[in-house]
Amino acid sequence: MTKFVIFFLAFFGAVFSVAGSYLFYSQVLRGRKQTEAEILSVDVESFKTQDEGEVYTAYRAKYEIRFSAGGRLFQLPLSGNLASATADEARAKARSNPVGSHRPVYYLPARPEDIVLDSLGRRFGFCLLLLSIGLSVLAGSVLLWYIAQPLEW
Amino acid sequence: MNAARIASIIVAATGMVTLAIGFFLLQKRLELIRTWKPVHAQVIKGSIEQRTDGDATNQSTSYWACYELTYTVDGKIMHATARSDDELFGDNVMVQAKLVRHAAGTRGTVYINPDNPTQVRLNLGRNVVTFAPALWVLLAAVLLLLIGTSLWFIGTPAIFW
Repeated sequence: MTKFVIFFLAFFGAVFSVAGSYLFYSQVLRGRKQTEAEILSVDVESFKTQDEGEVYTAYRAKYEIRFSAGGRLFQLPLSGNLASATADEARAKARSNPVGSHRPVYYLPARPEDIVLDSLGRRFGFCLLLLSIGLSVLAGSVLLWYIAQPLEW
Repeated sequence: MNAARIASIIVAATGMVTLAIGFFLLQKRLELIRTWKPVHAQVIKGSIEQRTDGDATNQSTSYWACYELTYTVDGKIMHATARSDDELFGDNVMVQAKLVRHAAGTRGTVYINPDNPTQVRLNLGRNVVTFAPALWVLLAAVLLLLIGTSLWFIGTPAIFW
């Protein structure tokens, strides 16, 4: 029973550590660059989302953006990161990003069309959180393993 | 300052306090190891101590190995009883194995309190088990400090699209 708990914890910790390491590599180490994107158009789109097994229709802003990366101009569609229950609500939220305004986006130099909206600080924070939980659980399971060994007396 | 950054400061501060407690426990253990003297003891008799917890439908029994020991301190023969730190659950097979290994007449190293030589500790080496309580607290402290750092970065103002 004790061994099962230790192996389960080690597995749980390893999964979190691997996931955190992969995220750290893909979101932090690969070195996304920041650039200013110009918003060319603003629209609203619907999408399906799940909550406790139920499928709902939600709405978010849909932009057409243009930015310069590596000396080339890119024009891409971009979905907003704020979900709303109604199209009107989504439209109201999108008002803070009007056509013609400039906002920061982060792209991969090797694949400039791969962009994210979260800044490096936020991405680093989420990866570190996942890694911290994984490595701590892994260290805890190693400690438990040693404690579970029979003592001399 | 946003909620994530306030939470990060609270978590990190708790981590610092936990870290201080962990180092205090570690220091106590090191002091114990440094001051308690190792002596060669002879087993007079071994026995099994048991305790049953829970109600009639869900009972669990714990077992410990107990030893009556004799040893010499400054030319004086001492007698003491000591219980193993190892709490074993389920059945007492492992405890019986210990009692066979440390049968009456066998000798082994135990640790005595120099201020009260009748106080005996059986497993007080430089091993993980000795330091386990301090290590758990230190691990919790490191986790809290890392979570606090993560929350600080997560608190970087977000740009909502």
